[in-house]
Order: sequence, then structure tokens, then C-alpha cells
Amino acid sequence: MIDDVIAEGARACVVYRFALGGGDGKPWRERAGCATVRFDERGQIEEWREYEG
Amino acid sequence: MNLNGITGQQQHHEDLSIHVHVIDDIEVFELTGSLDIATSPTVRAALTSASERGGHQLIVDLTQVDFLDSTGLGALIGGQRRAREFGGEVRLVAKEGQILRLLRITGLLKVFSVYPTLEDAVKNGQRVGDL
Repeated sequence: MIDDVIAEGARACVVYRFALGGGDGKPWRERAGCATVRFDERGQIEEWREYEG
Repeated sequence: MNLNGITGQQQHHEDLSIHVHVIDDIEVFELTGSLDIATSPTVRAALTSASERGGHQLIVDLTQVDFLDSTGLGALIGGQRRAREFGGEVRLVAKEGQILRLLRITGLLKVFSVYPTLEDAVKNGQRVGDL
């Protein structure tokens, strides 16, 4: 799930949540991450730098 | 926890304290402790509330923060987005160390103006470089 996006020219910063799990009936665990993204002149992702610590 | 209208006061939440005061019409949030999954909602709410009250320029002083995880970064980014919606900006203060290294490796020096001291942030002076 996307929580926040800041877009500025060819760059964007994305804050998101995701779930890890579960397997063997274990519950899914929610984690959070954020990434800075740079797009090329065609609008395709050129760089995706993320942090999920 | 509601920081509406609070200035010059101390707020405590889990392992984080927030001291809010105003310098030259800029609202300054001095954080001490850990900015993590437990405390980041408080910071996000405080920044959002300040923007909605008309605080155009906000400063978050991270020099006394000893731990910052992705939810904490998310709170700062959310605060920045909200501030920009209201025509403002969140400036950060971070000294050399783990917190600044994290801001560098995540590329967030492109998203925030980061200053080495509170004085620099207030005066919009010397910024931390993107090495």
C-alpha cells in the first residue's frame, strides 16, 4: 500500500507498506519501506533505491 | 496525542520526546530518542497539524535522534508532502553520523534540505552536501 508520494521532475519519493509472511499458518507481518526513484527521459524507472529497515 | 497549538512545550511518547518551539516564525521540532514504528505516528501528526495551522516553514532537528527506521523516514516524508501542499517545506537538521548516513544512502538529501546545525536551518544557510 502506498502511503505517500512526493514527485519532483524526474524524481519521486515513495513511502509504502507491505506484508511478509505467513507460511505454515503464521500471520502476515506488516513492514514499512521508502524508496527514492529516478525516471529516464522515456518515463521508465532508471533507479530505485529503497530502505526497509 | 495532540500537538495542536503547542509551542515551547515538551511531549513524550514511548522513547521519543518532542520539544516544539518557534524561532523567527519557523516552528522547530526538536526530537530526542527513537523515531520508529511506535513514535513515528506522533511525529507525522505533529508535522501535519503544523502545516494545516499555516506553519509554512518547519524544522525537524534530528541531532538528538539515536534511531531512525523506515517508518520514521515515512513520517518525515509524509510531513514534507503535507507541508508542500500548503506551500511550505520541512527542513532537517542532522549532524554527521548514522542518521545523516541513512538520509544519504536513501537519496533523501534530494527530498529534504538538510543542515548541519539548527542555526543554519533557521537562516537557510549552509546545507549538508549530497556526497
